[in-house]
Amino acid sequence: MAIPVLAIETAAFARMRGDTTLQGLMTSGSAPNWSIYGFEGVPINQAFPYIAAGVPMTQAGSAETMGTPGKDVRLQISVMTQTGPDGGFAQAWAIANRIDDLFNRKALDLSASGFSNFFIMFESAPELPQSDGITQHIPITFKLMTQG
Amino acid sequence: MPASTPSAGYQGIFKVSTVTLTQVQSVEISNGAETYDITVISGSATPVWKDFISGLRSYTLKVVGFWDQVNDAAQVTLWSDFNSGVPVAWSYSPNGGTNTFSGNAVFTSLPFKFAVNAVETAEWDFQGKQAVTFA
Repeated sequence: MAIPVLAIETAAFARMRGDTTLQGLMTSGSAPNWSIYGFEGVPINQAFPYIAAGVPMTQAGSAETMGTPGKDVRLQISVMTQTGPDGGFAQAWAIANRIDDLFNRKALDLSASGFSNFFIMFESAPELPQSDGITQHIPITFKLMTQG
Repeated sequence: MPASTPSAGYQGIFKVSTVTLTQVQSVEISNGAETYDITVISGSATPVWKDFISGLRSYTLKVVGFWDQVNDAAQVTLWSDFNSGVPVAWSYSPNGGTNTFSGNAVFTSLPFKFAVNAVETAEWDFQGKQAVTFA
């Protein structure tokens, strides 16, 4: 019994960093992290584009059973870009689309952490221009159900 | 005797024969009792109270959970019993195995619900066959 946030983030970021298509879109990055940052945080003066872990939300699980605890988790992944010939929201959406390809309806393997994730669905992806006028942000949220 | 305390629902254990049904969210045992009206018409102008005696007992059983007919052996058994019509030997402990309701029951319905944006659910509905016991 535990809260599966760390297990989810570990699996999710490993999936993104290991995807060659997404690696190709992360033009500011290189192996091993490809400008994709989890709970370790984004480095100061990180070049754009980059992907950062958003704020996860964990709630009582709709898949709680008598035998097994359940948790519902909102996994948020933030895509950050800046204005430029190859940047802006066009670049942000290209990255966001690939993230959707990687996660929507594709459950994570959390078995090493003692959880099962059997449900993951796209929930939202608002387009958020930042107040500095040159930075773009798309936080993509997926809804996960877990047991364990 | 200890002070009375409620029991948490997550302590429940539902079994088909001796096999635990894993994906259970709720269990309802609805015990019913018939009554028979034995009022005698008195002929009095003054209204009288009706009289009853206690009659036959029966129960229905409703188990709600998540569909997993692939990995859950108890769900496989229930599907087989639904199709063959044999009585299902069931038991339910509301307090982690300390005490148990049990009985035999026959299926009345077996609805599955498959919706694209939700967990796939199953419900197993029974008519009790003879007594439900508590020990």
